[in-house]
Amino acid sequence: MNPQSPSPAPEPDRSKELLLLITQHQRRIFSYIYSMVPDRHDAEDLLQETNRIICEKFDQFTLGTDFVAWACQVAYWQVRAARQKFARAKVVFDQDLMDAVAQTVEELRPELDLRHEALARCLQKLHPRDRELVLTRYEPGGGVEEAAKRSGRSLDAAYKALGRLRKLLLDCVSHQLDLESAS
Amino acid sequence: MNDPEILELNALCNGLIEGSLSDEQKRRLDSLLSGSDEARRFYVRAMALSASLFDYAAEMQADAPSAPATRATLPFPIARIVGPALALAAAVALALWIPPKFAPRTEPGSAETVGEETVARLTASKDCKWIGTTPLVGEWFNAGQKLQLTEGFAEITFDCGAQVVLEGPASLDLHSAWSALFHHGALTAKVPPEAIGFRIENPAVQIVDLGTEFSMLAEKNGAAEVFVIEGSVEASGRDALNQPSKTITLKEKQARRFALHGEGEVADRDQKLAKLNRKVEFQRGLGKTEYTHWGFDEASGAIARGRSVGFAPGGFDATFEPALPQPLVAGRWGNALSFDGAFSARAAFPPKSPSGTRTAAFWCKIPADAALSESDAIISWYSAETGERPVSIAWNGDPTLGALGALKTSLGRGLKVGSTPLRDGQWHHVAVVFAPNPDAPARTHLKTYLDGRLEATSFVRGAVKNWKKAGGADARFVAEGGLWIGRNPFQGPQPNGFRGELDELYLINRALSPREIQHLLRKNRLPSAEMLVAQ
Repeated sequence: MNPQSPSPAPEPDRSKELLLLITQHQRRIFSYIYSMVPDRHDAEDLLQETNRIICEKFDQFTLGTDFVAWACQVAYWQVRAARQKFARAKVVFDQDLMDAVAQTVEELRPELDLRHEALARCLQKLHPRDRELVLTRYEPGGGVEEAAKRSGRSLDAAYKALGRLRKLLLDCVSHQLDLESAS
Repeated sequence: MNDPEILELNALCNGLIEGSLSDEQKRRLDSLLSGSDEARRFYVRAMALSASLFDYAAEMQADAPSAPATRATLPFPIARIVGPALALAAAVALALWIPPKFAPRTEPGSAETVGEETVARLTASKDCKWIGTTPLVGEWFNAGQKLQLTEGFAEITFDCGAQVVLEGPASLDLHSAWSALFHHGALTAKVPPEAIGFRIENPAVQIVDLGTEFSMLAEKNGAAEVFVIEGSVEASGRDALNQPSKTITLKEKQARRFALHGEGEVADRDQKLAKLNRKVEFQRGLGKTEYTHWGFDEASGAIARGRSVGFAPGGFDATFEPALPQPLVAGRWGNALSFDGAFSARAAFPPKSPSGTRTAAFWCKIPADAALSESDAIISWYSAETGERPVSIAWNGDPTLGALGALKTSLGRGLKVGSTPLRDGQWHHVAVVFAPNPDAPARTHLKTYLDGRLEATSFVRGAVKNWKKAGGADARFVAEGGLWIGRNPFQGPQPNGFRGELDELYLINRALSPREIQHLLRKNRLPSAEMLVAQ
């Protein structure tokens, strides 16, 4: 998994498959990385590196098999390498805990897809003002400061509101899934 | 886990997400997660929720009505971390970009702007009187804009390179950089080979140019007459039932009349043609051209000479990093600079023009076997002094952004990827025009020309927030700014730099016209004002 080894680009017909798979599953790969590297920018950098290696090693992937599992393996080694390189600067956990978290993500993968879909419905249920706060916090180039500024809150109040809203959304998503499994 | 433990874990997750955990809190989080499967599941769900929120927020920002013209232009971080919906939208949007639709006019005769994307410019005029706002020579026209000329002559250059002279009274709606709807009046179109495919529509006929010069007289009743002066055009008229008729090819010196219900011969053909062909003495507003040119033909020691015109002399020599005894190879014109992935050069950056417009042009050769990891910037620049945002021109090594190997231009967080792969070991001419919107300087039009042909045009939102952190930018780059050749320090350390060859780099302080870009490509010099008039 050496990112620096120059490999030729995939053949044109496989390139189309690659483009489809890689775009279809970016969020899942990002989510996997982010669970171990909870800084957005660090996770984005690792995602970019992972994408690069996926492109270079795509000839090793067997079409029809589980692309996300394969891509997450690529990502795992990137996160692991980053952990060794930057110690705890990027990856917050020790190796054992990182492995345990990675395994939990893998186990919960189908559920996490459902949760992602349910979150869209829960976001719609939020008060527009709260929804705006959350989305400003998470939009590209956004952050808590920007969210506080735009909503007219103090920074401290914005942190607290965001914590409360995340818990609200987490509970809402769980509730949605319970309702759907019961129906 | 009991309720207090869940609340504690939730607070720790929040702290982790916001980067505010103390060491003690981190240790507590480690302890909780190491000791409990349930805690780990809670943690993973909480983190996945945040990851999903990044995705939804990016998607909604891209869909926001405040960004109507950015659908084909993905904000940089979105494209990098994209969720599936947006990524696919990106792929589809990039592959199937449809020009903005022509919008109905609200006030007959008014010059109405419906889109933000510029598609053409007024390049010359003579005794023009317009209905609505009077455009100045050099002014851009937007997609969907309706031009109503009551008298005089106006030369309109489309971004694809097609040049249309309108003679008033005339009415022309601009659809895109490649097409227009001609209601009535007289026009003559000159279409260089790079703009083959340029289209003029009319209720009676559609003309697709095959590389030529043609004239058209359109009557208010819907009939139109087409005269081919040079080359050939494809014309699709209407039959007696007003259905599209068979496409015919009109060749040099041929003419045809198209009405709403059929076609026929042109009456008084020679007189009309003579009138259409008469020479017009235009008033041109050619701006002052300041530029810097690095030819890479000679290098002394660790320096390549930069020649500037219009700026204070000297100061633009490029310094090699590291210094190489012989970085020059045979180029497209004389010698060229060869990059091995580790070598780069830097130079002072020319000051910007009052309007902030720029054109960057160069020849590049990228090996067919270039690895994706070698897709670092061919050139990049940033100027803290002038407030210009970081710019890089590279080939695309990220399939989530668009066609692999195609030209990628980044401006702040906005970017545009072309469609033609460059990794073929051949020389290609690249020109990128940067034209900030005078009404909204944070938005910039990018027009990319590959081998003289318009490849991509788009609106880029260059708003940059936290870009230093986001990009992991090189501290020196941030502090000093400047022009980098063969690398992009704004991106932070990359595994490999650019591998390939570069020749005849020009940075010009105005938006070159397609004709000027084609001249630069063919002659390796900018045309003089006299040359442009003579052409």
